[in-house]
Amino acid sequence: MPESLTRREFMKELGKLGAVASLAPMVVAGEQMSDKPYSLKRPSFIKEVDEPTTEIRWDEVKRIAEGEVTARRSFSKYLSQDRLDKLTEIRTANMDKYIKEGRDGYTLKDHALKSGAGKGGVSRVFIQDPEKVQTPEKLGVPNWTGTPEEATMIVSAALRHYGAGTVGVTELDTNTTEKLIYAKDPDGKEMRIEDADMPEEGEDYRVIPKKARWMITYTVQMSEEAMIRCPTHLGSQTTSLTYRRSQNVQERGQFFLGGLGYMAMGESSTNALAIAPAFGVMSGLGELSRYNRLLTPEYGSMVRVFKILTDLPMAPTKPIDAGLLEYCKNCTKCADHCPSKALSFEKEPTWETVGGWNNPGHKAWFEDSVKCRSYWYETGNNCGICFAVCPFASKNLASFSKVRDYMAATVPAFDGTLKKIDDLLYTPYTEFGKPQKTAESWWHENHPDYGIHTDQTVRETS
Amino acid sequence: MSVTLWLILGAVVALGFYFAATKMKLTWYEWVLAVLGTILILFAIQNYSASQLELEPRAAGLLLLIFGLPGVILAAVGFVLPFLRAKKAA
Repeated sequence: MPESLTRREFMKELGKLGAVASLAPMVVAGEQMSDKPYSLKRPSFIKEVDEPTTEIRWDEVKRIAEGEVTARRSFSKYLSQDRLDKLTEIRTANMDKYIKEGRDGYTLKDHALKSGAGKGGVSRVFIQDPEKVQTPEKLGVPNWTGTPEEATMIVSAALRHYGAGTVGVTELDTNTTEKLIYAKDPDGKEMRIEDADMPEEGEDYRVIPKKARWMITYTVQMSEEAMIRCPTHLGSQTTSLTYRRSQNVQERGQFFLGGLGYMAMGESSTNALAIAPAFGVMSGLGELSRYNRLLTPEYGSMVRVFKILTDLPMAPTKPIDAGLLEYCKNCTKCADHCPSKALSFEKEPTWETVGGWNNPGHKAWFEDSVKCRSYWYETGNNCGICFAVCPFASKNLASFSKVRDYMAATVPAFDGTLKKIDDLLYTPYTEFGKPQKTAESWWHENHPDYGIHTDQTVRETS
Repeated sequence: MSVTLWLILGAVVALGFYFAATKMKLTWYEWVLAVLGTILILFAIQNYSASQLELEPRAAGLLLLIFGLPGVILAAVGFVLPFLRAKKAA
């Protein structure tokens, strides 16, 4: 080919190579990316829907103070000081005993692994230091502009490149999804949504400008092979590692959005800013499960969910119906295996909450967080058995997984049978409350990077 | 299972069907049995090898048995019946 070509000549040359056909759609679009509605590349049996499979009464939903309501931060509020002291005593005694007796999953090397997994993440901040962000203004160029579809496309590409699994977007509505932003962050700071030009942070408040209407929600994968060793240090360390990885994804995402010339408000600490599973459901990353967390079509329960809020106009992604919530109606596996009996056995999700830690206004299988977290003290870690035994917590390499997903999405009557098949194939003899595999065996296995299979890619690229 | 192994397996299956189509006289229902059997065997092989990669040996063995056994029986019936018929005719 000549060294310098006009675009016409270039395309002509490509045509000689027989490549014109594959590039034709791009040429027609005038070298622009498609502006068709953005969506994750998923099998056709996963339907995009207007309303999520979780029923919501938005007039009953109120913005909650994360630090004052959830059992995560306010555990002591829901039980007596004596009980709390006793639990702390049990945890100290158990941890001392387990490591000294070399209990599987609690050995020195397991402890060390967990210790390391909890490191490496940058500190979370609500807003990055403007001095450090390479804004277009500093570079002497205008802000990035494009269609909302392009915006969702490039943000998704960037976040996935930084370590996210799937990415969804919700356009906030004052009467509905805006209520899923916390009234107060975990550190007690009031989250004010105001007509402001820029986000701001003070001693006891954070300001979210009203014009920041796009909540980016993303998953970060956990290692199934580690998680099935729950409830041990080796099992729970994948959760720690995933949170640390998410911190890096958030910082990179904030710098990316800032680099495009837009604001990016992140989680100031773990689980800050907004209710993650709720935004996961609203943006179609998954459905609400019996264990009352996000269950995704791609990674099952093997994810954690995170958020960044921006004023970059983006194309929202729709909620989905992959038959997952319906499947949970006929599968009580997480509840069956829950050592603290914190999960619901009801067939249908209900409007009635179990305790003050639950957020009313939607139909769910509400959990008893106090029972759950009390058990964490016994194990010295965050248990995770409900995540581990979920039939959708699989690596999806075997094509039978695809059959299972298809059947779950299309033939609900078969859900009970699918659960029995899962019992037969994967967790037949699990001793109650014990790991599915020995922690020791994990050290001898060959695992992929971070223990996750990143080839379950689902991003639409056209 | 690597792409190369699938390629070899594909070639073996293609040769088998080529042989059946040219050298054996299969009735329509024998074709149905042979094709169904072959699909089940391939499905069993994929699930077996993928489940081993997933570090799930129990699932691997069971999936091989559940899909592979009926697959072998169907394929055997599909391919053996014409042989028996030809032998009887001879």
